[in-house]
Amino acid sequence: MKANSFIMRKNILLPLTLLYAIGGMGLFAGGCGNNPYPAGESAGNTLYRTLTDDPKSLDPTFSYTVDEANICDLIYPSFYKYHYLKREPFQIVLNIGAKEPVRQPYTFTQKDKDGKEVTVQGEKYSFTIRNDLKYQEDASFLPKEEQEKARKIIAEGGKPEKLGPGRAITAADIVYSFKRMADPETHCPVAPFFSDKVIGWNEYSAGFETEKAANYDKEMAGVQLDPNDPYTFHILLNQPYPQLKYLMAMHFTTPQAREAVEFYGKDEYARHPVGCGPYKMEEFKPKQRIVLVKNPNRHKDFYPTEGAPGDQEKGLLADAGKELPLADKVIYNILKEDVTSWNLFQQGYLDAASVGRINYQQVVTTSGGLSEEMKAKGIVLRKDPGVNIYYLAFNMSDPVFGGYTEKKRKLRQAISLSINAQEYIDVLLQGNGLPAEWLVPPSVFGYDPDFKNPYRNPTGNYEKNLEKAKQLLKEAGYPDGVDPTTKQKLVLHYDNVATSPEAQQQVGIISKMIERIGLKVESRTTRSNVFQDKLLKGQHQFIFYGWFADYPDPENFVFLLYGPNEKPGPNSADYKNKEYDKIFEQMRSMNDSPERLALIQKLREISVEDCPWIPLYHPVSMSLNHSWLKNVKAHPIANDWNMYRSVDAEERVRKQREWNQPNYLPLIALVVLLIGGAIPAAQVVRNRINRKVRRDIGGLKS
Amino acid sequence: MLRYIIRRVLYAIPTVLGVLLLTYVLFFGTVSRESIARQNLSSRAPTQEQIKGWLKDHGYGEPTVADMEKDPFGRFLLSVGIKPKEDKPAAPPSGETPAAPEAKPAVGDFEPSFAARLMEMKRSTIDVLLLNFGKSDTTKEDIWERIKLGIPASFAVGTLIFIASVITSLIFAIINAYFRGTYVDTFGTFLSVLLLSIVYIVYVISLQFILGKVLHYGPIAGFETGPGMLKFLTLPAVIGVISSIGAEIRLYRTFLLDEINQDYVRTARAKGVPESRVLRLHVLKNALIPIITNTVAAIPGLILGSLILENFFGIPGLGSYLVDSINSQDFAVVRAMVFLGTLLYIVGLILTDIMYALVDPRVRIE
Repeated sequence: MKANSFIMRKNILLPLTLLYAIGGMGLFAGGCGNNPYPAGESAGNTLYRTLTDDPKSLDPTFSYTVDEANICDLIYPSFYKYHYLKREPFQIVLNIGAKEPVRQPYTFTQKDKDGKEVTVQGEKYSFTIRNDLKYQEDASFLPKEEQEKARKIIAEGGKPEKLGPGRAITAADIVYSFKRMADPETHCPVAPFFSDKVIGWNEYSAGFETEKAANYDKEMAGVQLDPNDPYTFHILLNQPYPQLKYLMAMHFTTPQAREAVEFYGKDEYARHPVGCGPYKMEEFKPKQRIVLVKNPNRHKDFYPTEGAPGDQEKGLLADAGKELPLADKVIYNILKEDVTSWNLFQQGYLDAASVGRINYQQVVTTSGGLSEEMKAKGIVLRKDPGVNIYYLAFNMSDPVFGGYTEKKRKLRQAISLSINAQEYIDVLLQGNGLPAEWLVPPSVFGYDPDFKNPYRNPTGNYEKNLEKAKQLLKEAGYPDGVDPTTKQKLVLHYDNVATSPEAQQQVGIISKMIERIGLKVESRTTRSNVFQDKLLKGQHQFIFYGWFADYPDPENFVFLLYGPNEKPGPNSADYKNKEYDKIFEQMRSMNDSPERLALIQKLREISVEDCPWIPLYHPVSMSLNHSWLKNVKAHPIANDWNMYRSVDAEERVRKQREWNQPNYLPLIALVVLLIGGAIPAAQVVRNRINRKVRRDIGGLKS
Repeated sequence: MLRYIIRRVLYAIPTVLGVLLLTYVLFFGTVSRESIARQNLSSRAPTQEQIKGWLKDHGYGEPTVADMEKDPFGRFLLSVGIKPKEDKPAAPPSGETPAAPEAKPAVGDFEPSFAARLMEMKRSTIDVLLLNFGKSDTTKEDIWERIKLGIPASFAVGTLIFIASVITSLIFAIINAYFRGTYVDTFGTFLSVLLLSIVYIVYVISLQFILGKVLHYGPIAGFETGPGMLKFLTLPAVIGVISSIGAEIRLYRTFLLDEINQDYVRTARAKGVPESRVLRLHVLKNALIPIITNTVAAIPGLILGSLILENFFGIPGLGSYLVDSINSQDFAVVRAMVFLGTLLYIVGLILTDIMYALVDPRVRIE
């Protein structure tokens, strides 16, 4: 009890309290400011970003979320990339590709189900990549005898002293990526895009069952190396496939080093990316930070010299022609709580922030502009339309609301007319959205700004729409929403996962709109896995859903109503219309042309009349950035934009200093108050001790 | 004493096994295998084959006879006639034309056989007990490596808060007890009740805002290993202390007052022992018995970290590991963390008993 005897020595309380207070103050002062980064780092040419959690996987064959793609696409470049500035339409340009691919018709014979020989009209693509590409330096490129040592160091969480030189890249590395996609063990999310089109894909994929890893040594029939040119490979398809170019702009088709995958093993490779992109990963501290640094082995790439109209005026071409990437480092802070990221952004320790529930009131004025408080700090608010759609869908197999008869159609059309998208956007999204007329969002081929869906908002007057809806409802056999057989209001079951108050509000608004025409809406809220289950089994009746584009081609939207994409595919409405399917099959393999547009319009006509969906809105996302972050233009599809961003580090450091002067006054006041309180207390102690026993005994009587 | 400890440790084994078994039953009673696979596959609309493949690769699929023969428990099951469901026949030898495409399995048909369930149970109980945690279903990280990585951060924050709050509350409790019945005591009690009636998350959000965002006393989030850590621990530690001392002061004050009113304290005073000595030897020493037993039970918990504090301050500890794994339906992590939690809880209880015997000569452990 030594320590306690010390505490209890005479009059020790006062100095101890003081010591404690001073110690606490020392802790604050010893912090040397509140900059969370290593000294001097903010002054460097560094981008600071956030992630809400560790990326699950940075394996380019598996990873698919936006956060993961943000990192993956900087490390793993593909044949194509999206032009950073150009829009409407989006443009893809060569990245590691040396020249535009050669497309040739490819005819071959195969046996059909009955064993008859049939001729198939397919397509052959020949891709040639640059011949100056090489991987980043990595331990997996060390000579065999040095690998063992390096592996041991990495397993213990260290960094090997010596790395192998980056190997030169040939077309074989991309072919290897295709083989990995076909490997069922990698669980590649885009494999279904290829499996029904690339010749011999499924057979090759099945080979892994028996051959295991040795299957990688085998040739893949549909993805072949050119025998004469090590930088060229061919993809053989059993149908024309113009969308292939978009897949060649995703990180799934990046060159991958087989020795790296084998050195780290499939699981660890997901945390040790080895690529040839503008950045390489230097550090990955789980739940803490990820650091990307410029890859010295990257290929030469430059900031675009031309942009969309207006970009020049916005200063987006100030860095035109400069070598990419512009920033030396990209640092991802892993922060789970939005509140934390928002506070850090306000202190200047993050370059950009999103606008959401926690900061909306503070950031946006009632008229939708940026608040004075933010303006004073030089913060910039951006509103960017996304390439996605949110919609309400009926289950077309449902006995009441599904079906293709005239009456059923009218029932759905009536409900569609009752939904006021503008009201929804104004109330729930503070005006940040564009009412949708059909599936295809703006800036995608096939979007028609003049098109007015006759069952959405044809009159421009909601009251009139409601009248028309009631008329349609009557024609559908439900006058005033009453089912004549039961004499009760017809009930629509709205299946949702709305467990949060915000989501409940959304369900409430939709329900109230539909009830305006006399129907009754019952919300069926469940957990998300039960909801998915209902969807799979077709037990849903009416749902709210969204779709984010994989690539900006109308096929990627129109296919949401393609019959064969029924559950568990993306056709959640279970819509099946033979004519629609036929036109879709024709449309999907065409290049953008007036003929294609005509087919898309036909698809629109059919699906609008059948009304399996109520297209609701195309969202507009809001985000903030500090004035020192340059070249900010959102790209709704591409994820490699961090390599185009740059910072004015001097301005950042200056503002960080200005905004973060500690204010010790309250702390000093607190200490003074404590001491002030302690003095009379100490007096009491002294008195008690001096007065000795008599008083004390008196006090103890109680 | 040693015998007692050994007995307690042996008792712990069936307890832990029971907890793990219960976790398994509860988890798979509420979550379908298919939804686990869907959650963890990156594809938005995975095919039935992808789901089946995922389940198989992560040990939730149907084992083959060969798989079971690799494991002693599997061999035992086979010997008593518990066999897995027959999977589709082996792939046709190369050269032959592949068989006609099989009929699609019914949607959601991923329920394993009895043998598969028993194998899973064995993996989720006995293997975990033997510290064979395996890899995370979501990230494929080695779970034990991840735990080892998270413990130092959680432990650093936890220990700092623990020590600082015990000392702080003890000081204030002594002051309160010393001035019992005066305005200091009333005011102190009022303050502690006030402090303990505020919800934890309010402390975290508001103090992070006031101390970090407004007064700029320390970094709002971040972490560093080594001595630089102190800078990042300041705010969480202050918040942790402020949020916990309310209850502790009240408790310790009660312990101290219990002792002050004891007969032997009065006797000591009557014999003319100086007040400071009375407090030190007769009051504090005896009051420490309940205080120590109370705090020791908390020590193992320091390893698991604090969910809210770590999330808000970006501390890479273990605080959110269990909750995250439940959300991502990562059963491999859930069972490992439940095991760790159970183990630490049991260790805490054993430690408490031992401390009783050590600090209180009246207690004997047999």
